Amino acid sequence: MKHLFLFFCISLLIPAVIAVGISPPQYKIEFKPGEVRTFSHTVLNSRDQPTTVRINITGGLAKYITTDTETLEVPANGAKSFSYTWHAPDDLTPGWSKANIRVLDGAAGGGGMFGIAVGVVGNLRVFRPYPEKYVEGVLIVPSVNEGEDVSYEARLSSRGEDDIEDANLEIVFQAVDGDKITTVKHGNIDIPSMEEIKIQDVLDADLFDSGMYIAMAKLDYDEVLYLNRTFNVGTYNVEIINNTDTLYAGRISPVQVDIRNLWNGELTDVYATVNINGRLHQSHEKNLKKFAEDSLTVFVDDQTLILGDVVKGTIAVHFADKMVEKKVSFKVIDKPVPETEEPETSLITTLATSTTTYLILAVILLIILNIVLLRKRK
Amino acid sequence: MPEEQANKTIITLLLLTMVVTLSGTFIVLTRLGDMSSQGLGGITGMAKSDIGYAKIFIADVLAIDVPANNDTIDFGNCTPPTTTNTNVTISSEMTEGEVNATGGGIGFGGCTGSNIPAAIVILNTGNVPAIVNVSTDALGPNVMTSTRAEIYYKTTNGAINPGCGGAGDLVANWDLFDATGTDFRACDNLTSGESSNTFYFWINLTLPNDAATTSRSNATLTFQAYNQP
Repeated sequence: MKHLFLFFCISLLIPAVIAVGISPPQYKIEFKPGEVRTFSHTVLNSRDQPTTVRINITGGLAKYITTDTETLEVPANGAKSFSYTWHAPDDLTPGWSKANIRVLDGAAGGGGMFGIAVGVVGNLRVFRPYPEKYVEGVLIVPSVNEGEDVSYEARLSSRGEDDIEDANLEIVFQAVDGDKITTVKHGNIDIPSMEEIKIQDVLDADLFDSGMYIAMAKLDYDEVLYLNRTFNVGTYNVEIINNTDTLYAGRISPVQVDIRNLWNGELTDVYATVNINGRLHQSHEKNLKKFAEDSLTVFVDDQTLILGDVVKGTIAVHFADKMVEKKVSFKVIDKPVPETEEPETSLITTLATSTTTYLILAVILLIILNIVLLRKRK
Repeated sequence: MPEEQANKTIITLLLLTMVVTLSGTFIVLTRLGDMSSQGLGGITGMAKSDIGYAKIFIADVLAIDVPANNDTIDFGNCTPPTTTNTNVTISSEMTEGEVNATGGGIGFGGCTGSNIPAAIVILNTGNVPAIVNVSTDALGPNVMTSTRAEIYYKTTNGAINPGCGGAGDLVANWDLFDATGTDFRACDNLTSGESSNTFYFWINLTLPNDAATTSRSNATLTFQAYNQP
């Protein structure tokens, strides 16, 4: 037989951590034609011995970057800095461009087929404004609880070469099922080129019942920018979304209760109970983060259930001093046999157990016989 | 008599001096109290506020570690299949002595590894989330000297301190290294923080029957952490 003595080993010759870090990992700047600017990074070595890292600059902006540092000796458990210089060209493609600053740990190499190296990739990101007018934005509407005012904030950034003048912002608030709640308008909005503004206001709590809503914003500035954001108005309650509707005859039955926290805050020690034939079965407790969904499992142990019956019961979810109930009908079924169950194995096990028992009995019988024989000799 | 008069005067002046000194001290202390309440206490050396502030700047750090003792997958000595045009699959997820159903190798996929199953452990030891990619400088045919040899990988979350976002951020199915020097995704969102900063990297090799018996070359797997945009 042909033996292939490949030592398939992924290991390092040095029994220590392989580690490298860079700080800061990123610089973000705005494009200024002809600008010459120097940036520095610190390379971190958390190993117990010095290391030599390789520095490599790649990406679309690499041709505008110069550095004298190709390798760097970093002391054990220490740090060392290096710098590079950005020579901005006269023009650049509008939007974000970047250069990757790769720092590779020079400790690559292995004791077998594979070696491992680690690296970190910092970057320089340069933003060149878009021609004419261009706006980017984000709409922020935090979830609240019922009775609390709803605040909103539109952050609008002018990313074009031209100033934004006399723009109009309209925000429609509506329930996710389509019922419109209110519309707010902000006019005469000016945003100088490469600047950001925030438009904030508060809506009265009386406008919103508990539920899920969506805010849809439209900024008209010669071009049109659409933004939207969903948010919840919470109520101190839990919703039972779904539940198991079958029980097993003569077996313990897991009843899964899927629930949703409708409160804008965490609910602690939430548990479910299932009441069948006057007997109460309880799940374990869970904490539920705000507006989160989760499942509770109640194990129902009722040997009186008859196959084919439909049993009426109640599922309740308890939290703090509150309780949410749901009337349910459970169909009593036979427990399905898992596909992986192998009766042959059980048979073999049974046979093996019986054989052992017989052998033990035989040995005991022989010992008794020996004792009887010895006494008879005396 | 004049001498007695002089003594009385001296005593009067002395008492007057004491009254003026004490009154002045009282007035100055009262005014100092008023000044501090107006925020002018600083000119007297008094603290302006009941609360002291210390400022500290914590810089962003992008860093990854492969801890010692978690940097090795040792497949041991491997025996390729003997039938022509067959392969054996060797995975670092297999257990020692496990027989590969599809390969025809001996032991687990024909290898005698001692620390299987094993994965490379990658940690985010910085303070910002990272995108981690992996690349290789050699492919299966180069490493095992057979055109049918292949190297696959996949990633799973750490059993301890899982930190790679959601399931979609990992490579759940074996992915083939089919190019050198190319970044293959390993974890799209490796969070920082000691309790949630870990994911595992697994290897799967396709070892054909015509793999060379003696020659082999090394490959370097490079894990690189990128800053999230």
